[in-house]
Amino acid sequence: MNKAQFAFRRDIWNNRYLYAFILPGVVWFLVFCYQPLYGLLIAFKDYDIVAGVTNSPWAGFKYFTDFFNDYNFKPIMINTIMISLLKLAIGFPAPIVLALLLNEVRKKMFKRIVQTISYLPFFVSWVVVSGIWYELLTIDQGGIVNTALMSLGLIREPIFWLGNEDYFWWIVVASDIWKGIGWGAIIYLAALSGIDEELYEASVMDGAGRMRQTWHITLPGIRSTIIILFILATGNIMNAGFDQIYVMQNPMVLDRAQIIDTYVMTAGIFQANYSIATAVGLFKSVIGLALLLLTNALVKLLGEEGIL
Amino acid sequence: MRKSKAEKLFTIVNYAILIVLSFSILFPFWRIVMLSLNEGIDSMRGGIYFWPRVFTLDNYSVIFARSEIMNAYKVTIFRTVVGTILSVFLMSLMAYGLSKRHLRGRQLVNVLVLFTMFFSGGLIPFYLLLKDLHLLNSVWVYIVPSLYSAWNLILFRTFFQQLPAALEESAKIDGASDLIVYFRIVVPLSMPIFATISLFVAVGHWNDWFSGTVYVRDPNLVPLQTLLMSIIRENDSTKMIAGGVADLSSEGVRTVTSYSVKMATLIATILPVIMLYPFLQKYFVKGVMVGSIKG
Repeated sequence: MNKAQFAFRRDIWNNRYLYAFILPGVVWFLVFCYQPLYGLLIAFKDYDIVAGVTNSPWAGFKYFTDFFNDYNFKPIMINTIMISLLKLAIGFPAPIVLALLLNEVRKKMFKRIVQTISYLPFFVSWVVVSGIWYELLTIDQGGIVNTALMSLGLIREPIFWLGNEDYFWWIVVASDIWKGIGWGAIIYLAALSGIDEELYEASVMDGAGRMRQTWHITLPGIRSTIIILFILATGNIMNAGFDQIYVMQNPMVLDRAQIIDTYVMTAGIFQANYSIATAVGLFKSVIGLALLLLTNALVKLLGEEGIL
Repeated sequence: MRKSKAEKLFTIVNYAILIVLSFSILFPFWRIVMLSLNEGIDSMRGGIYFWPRVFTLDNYSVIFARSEIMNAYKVTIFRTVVGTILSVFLMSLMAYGLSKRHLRGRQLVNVLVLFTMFFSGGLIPFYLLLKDLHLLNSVWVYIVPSLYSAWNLILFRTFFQQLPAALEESAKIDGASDLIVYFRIVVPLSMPIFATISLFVAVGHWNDWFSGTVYVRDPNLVPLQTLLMSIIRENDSTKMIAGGVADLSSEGVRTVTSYSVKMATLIATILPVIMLYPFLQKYFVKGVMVGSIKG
C-alpha cells in the first residue's frame, strides 16, 4: 500500500460516522429518485409487467407520436398552458403587490394580524380548499359569492359557477391566489427588510414621494428575488397545479380541466397504460426543464443572476 | 414632516385593501365553522353567516361515531408522528455529514441531491417502483417514499454550516466522535431548524391525500384527507339526488344532514393544524427566511 492510499483510507476511517450518516440517504435517493429515471425507459418500450423494464421489447417513439396524434392532445396542451399563463400573469404578481402594500403599513400590530390571516390557507390541503370554495360558489341558498353579487345588484340570478366550464380556469386562478398569496409574500417581505433604510431617508431629502420610492428603491431591492421565483415559475408551466386541478374538477368542466398530469394519472394509474403515461410524463418533464433552462439563460443574457 | 393629501389617501386605501383581503380569507373558514355548529336541517334554509342559528354539536358526534373517520384519524396520526420523526432524524444526519467541507465525496452527493429538484422520473415509474418494492397497500407507503427531500436537506445543511465550529472542534480534541458531537452539541444548538422542518414535514403528512388515493386500496389504510375528498364528492352527488336530506336517519340523529356532516368533517380535519397554527407560522416564516438567504 503506498502513502496516498494509506492516507485516503485513514481519512475515510476517521470520518466513518459522517459517512454512516450520509449512507442511508444516498441509498434512498438512488432507489426513490434515480431508479425511476431508469424506469423512464418504458416510455420507449412496450412495457410488459411480467418482463419488467429491462426485458420489455423496444417501441421507439411510438407512444410519443400516439400522444401527439391523440384527439385529446390539443385540448390538454391548451388547458395546461393557459392555466399556467393565467397563473403567471395574475397569480405571480399578486404576492409582490401584497408585500409592497404590507411594507407601507406603519402599524406593526395591524401588519402582523394581516400576515397571520393571509397565510392560513397555505397550511390546509387542496382538498379542504376545494371544500371551502365549493361552499363559496355554490348555487344553493347561502353561497357567499352569489349572495354578495345579488345583494349588490350585479346579478339577478345566482350563477352556477362550478358547473359552467367557462369559469373553471378563473376559479383555479382565483383559488390559487387565495391559498398562496400570504405565503408567497413572506419571501418578498424578507427581501424588503434587507433594503438599507438610508436609501429611503436620502430619497426623502431629494423630495421623492412614495411612488418614486417604490419604483426607484423598493422594486430594485427585490428584483433578484422576483427573477429567481420567475425562473422557477416558468419551469412549472407544464404542471399547472395537479393537486389543485385534480381535486377541484368535476364532470361538468372536464373539457377545460384536463391537463397533462391528470391525463397521466388517468391513463397510467386508472387504465394501466403504463408506457403512454410514462411517455407523456417524460414529455412534460423535458419541456419543463427546457423552459427553466431557457428562462435562466435569457435572464443571464440580460445581465441578471440566474439560479444555475 | 407633513404628509401630503395623496399620501393620506393612499394610507387609507391601503388599509382598506388589506382589511378586505383578510376578511375574504378568514370569513370562508369562519362560515364553515358556523355551519358545522348549526343544525343541518335548519342550515338548509340558508342565511347562516356569522353565527349559528340553532346551535348543536350533533354534527361532530355523528362523525366521531363513524368508525371509518376514527380509523382515518389513526392512520393519519400514525403516519404523521412516525413519518416526521424518522424523516427529520435521517435528514438531519445526512445534512450534518454534508455540512462538513472536509468530507471526501461530499460534492458528488450534493449534486446527486440537487439534481432531483429539477428532474424526476414522474408518476408512473415511481408507482411501478413502489409496486416492485411491495409498498403498495402498505402503511409504509406513507412513510418510506417521502423520507428525504432535497429542499429540507438544504435548509438543514445551511443551518449546520452556520453553527460556530469552535464548540465541535474542542469536543473532538477531547476525543468525542462525530456521533457524540452530533447528539450532544449539534442537536441541542439546532432546535429552531428541527422545529421548522418537523412542522414542514408534519403538515405535509397531515395534508397528503394523494398517496392514500393512488397507492392504497385497503379501506383500513385510508388517511383523513383521502376520506374527506370522498366525503365531499359523495355528498355532492347525494345532494343533487336527495336535495340535501341525508341518509343518516338510521343513525338516529334527525337534525343532521350530509351537508352539515361534511362541514363538520372539514373542520375536524383542519383542527389540529389550526391548534398548531401559532407555532406553525412562527417557525415556517423562519424556515422561509433561512431558505431565501441561500436557496
